Amino acid sequence: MKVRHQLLLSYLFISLLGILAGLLGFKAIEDSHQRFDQVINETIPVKNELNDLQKSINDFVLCTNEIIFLKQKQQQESGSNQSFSLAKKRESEIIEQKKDWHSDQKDYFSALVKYEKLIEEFFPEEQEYLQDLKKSSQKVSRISKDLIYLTQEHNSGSVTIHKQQDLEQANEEFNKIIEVALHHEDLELTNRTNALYSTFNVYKNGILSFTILSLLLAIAIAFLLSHYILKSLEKLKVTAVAIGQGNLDTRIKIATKNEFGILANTFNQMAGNLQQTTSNLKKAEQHNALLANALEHVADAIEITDEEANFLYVNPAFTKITGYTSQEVMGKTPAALFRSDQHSSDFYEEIFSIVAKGEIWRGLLVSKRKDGTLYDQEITLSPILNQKGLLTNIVAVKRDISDRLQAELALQKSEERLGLVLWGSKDGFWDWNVETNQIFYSTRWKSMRGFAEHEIGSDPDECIKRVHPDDVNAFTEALQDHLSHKSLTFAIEYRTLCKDGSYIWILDRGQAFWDEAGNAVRMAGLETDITQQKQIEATLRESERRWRSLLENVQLVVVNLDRFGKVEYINPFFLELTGYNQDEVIGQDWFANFLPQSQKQQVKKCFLEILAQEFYPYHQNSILTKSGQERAIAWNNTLLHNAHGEIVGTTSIGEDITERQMMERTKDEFISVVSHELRTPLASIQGGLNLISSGLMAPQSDKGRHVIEIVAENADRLVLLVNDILELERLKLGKVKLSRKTCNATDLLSKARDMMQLLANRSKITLSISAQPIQVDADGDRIIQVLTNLISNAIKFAPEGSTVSLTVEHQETSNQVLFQVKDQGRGIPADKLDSIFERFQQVDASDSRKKGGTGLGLAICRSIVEQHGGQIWAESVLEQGSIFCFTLP
Amino acid sequence: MTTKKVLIVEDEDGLRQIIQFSLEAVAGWEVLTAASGREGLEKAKAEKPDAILLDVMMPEMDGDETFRHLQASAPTKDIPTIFLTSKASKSEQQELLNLGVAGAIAKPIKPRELVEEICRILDWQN
Repeated sequence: MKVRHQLLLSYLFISLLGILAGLLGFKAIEDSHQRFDQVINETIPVKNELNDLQKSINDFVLCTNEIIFLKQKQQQESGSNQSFSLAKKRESEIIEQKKDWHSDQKDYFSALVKYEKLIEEFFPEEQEYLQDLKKSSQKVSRISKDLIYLTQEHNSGSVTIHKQQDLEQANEEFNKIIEVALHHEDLELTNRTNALYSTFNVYKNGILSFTILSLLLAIAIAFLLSHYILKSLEKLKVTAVAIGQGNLDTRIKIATKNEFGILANTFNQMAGNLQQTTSNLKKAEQHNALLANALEHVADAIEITDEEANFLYVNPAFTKITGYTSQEVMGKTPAALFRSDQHSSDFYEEIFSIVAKGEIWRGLLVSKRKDGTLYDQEITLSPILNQKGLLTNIVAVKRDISDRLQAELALQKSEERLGLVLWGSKDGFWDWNVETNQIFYSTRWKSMRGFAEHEIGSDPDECIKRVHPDDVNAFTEALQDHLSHKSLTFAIEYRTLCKDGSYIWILDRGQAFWDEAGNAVRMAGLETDITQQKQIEATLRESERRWRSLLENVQLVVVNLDRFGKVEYINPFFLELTGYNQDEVIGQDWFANFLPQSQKQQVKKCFLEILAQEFYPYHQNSILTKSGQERAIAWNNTLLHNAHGEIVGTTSIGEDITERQMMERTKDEFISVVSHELRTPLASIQGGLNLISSGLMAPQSDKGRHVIEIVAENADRLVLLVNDILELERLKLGKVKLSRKTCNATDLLSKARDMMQLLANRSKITLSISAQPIQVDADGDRIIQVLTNLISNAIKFAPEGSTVSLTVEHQETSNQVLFQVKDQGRGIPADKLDSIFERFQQVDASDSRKKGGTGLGLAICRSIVEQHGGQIWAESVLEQGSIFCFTLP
Repeated sequence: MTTKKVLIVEDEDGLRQIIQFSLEAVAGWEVLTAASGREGLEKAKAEKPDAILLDVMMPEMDGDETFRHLQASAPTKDIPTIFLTSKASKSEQQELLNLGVAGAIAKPIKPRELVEEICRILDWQN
């Protein structure tokens, strides 16, 4: 909205407020007028009429009293014979008074009627007063009328007095009533006047408030409007000052479309124009400075001469090339300074004449420097002609090309060198012009794939189409990533098809070049045939896989420790053996965590010595399982080296020899027992024989015979023992071949009983058989050996007169034959039931002496039964007897 | 020289008698015998022998245990004790000597050598 419109609107608004104020005042006057009228035209006349009414009644009463008084006086005078004239006079006075009375009565009626009218018209609510007044005034009027009639009669003195009193009373009543009415009217008047005043006050306050409000609104509008205008002006001022100070970038930001907007836009345009002009001017200056600067920094020598070829300007490159400073050459000509005797003077003349004609001359010249040395230069001479076509200046650009000639030579050598390197490295080279999409493939690139030079063109597809289908995606992706700057260099290994249909592995590395817009314009790279490497890698991987598989599956502990004794590798067998999982082991200190306390020091010392190359290829120590058990391990250690040959740790392969050690210990114990068993009889034999042979004891003496008995007994025992030991060993080693035949189980039992019958008889023991005709596939002699062994044991431990019963039966459930030898002996403690079948494990160690036997019988029985594929065991109740059972399949 | 009194504790009847005869015949010592460790302890306490020959491998109370009991009892703890053992190797014998016995003699035994060995160990004149 434009400012003038804004102003017009505010004026209109203020005027509207004025009109409203006027209307409000007019309304107030109207209203007040009406209320004033009410007071003037209604209340006051009523009051007046009331006064009139009162006056007329009072007059009426006075007049009545006067008439009565005059009548009484007339009567008194008539009694005293007064003069006629006096009587006449009295009569006329009374008549006069009666006239007044009538007039008063008329006045009263008229006043009453007027009052009644007013009341009905303006105060219908005051009917009550009207009725009261009417009644009391009519009462006065009626009494007064009665009195007047009484005056016409004689002898009415007492009645008159009564009536007079009534009149007096009625008048008083009337006066009271009218006083009340008057009082009411006064109140009414006061109320109405007050109402009038309060109306005045309301309007006065209203008008006053409205006027003040309007005034404030007008002031606010004026303030806002002026503020807005001033603000815009301020912006204009600030911008103007800024532009004045040279900040040509400054713009006014007024977006409105009013006069200020137009003014601001115009201002901005002016500033813009000014800025453009200034910037153009600056650019021109910069351009000039740039040109001057360029001339100063050009690598080529630039000379400007006048038309006579006198020097006007030379640049620093000139000084650098020729050795002459600017001051030295001013006013002189090139001919005087540079001519070498390499060119004829005609040649120089010809050059000058060409230039003088306004043509450009280009060529090579050999010139002389200030120090007299010669150099090759490439010269361009450009004439500057004026508008008339006359030569005014010559501009010469001279380039020392001695270096360039050398550089060209150097480049040629460098290329030769590069070619040699590429050939020597057997790498193929490619150079891709992205813009033309042509690739230069080197001869080697082609020959790597088995192609001759002419067999491959320069199409990029020559490369792409030969990439192995499995590699082509990775190849194109790597190429795209590099071209789009995602990867710094292009490097990829891929397989490519050769002419003979085989694939070779290529390592391709390349680098792209991008223009300013970021588009790749060229890319070049090298290719190396890595087929052999790949094969080696594959072989290594396979080897690694085999080793790993071996390590993972071997039943040996394999552990790698770093130089600090931390576990680097552990194989699954270790985990299986110890119950740890891999995470609990890797990275842990081997010595602190997996060795028994007692061995930590010693093993750590050993480890340090291994690292120090004091080589301990083998050692033994225990390790701890997760549950704290010790396992004995025999270790074989080797050192681990890194690529530099430095020792980085150890690999130890360990065999769990816990069981073996236990077996060895058992064996040692066995040997110890055997040794005792053999040495004891031997000691008796040796001692006894020595006593006799040395003559210490006569063989015929009692003692001597006793000694010989002891010796003989022990010799027998030794023979039995040696036999049993050898028998058992042969059984254990499997050297005893069973000759299995189908035998009748009952026969076997009978034979065994027959063999033992003598022994049984000696001990007074009955042998009973309860047998079935069962066939068993067994080595009969061996089974009889088992049975006799068991029977002899039973006889040894059974009390005299008891029965040893032999039974055999077929077990349906397991389809086996069960033999039982049952005695009524002392029984076997439960904890010995198993161990009695071990070698030299008798229930009581003294049994072998007391009862005979070698302590190997049951062990032999077990070996024989087991060799048959059967089982042997004992069942027993202490002090009641034992049952030895064995089964045969 | 008074006659020495020697107690033999050996469970093997025959061997015990042979040793008894040997000592009596060769050295003329008074020989007491016991067939078990327990009996040996009782006899040692009762008779206070000059030396005890103790079999190592015996049922129930073996030689080691018998020796410990001898050591633990005041009347017997100073009686020199020699083990009779069938353990032949040096290391095994050393283990026995470590228990604190006066010596150990390996079986089998020739009578004269036995007596000589006992005298050597106990530094007796024969």
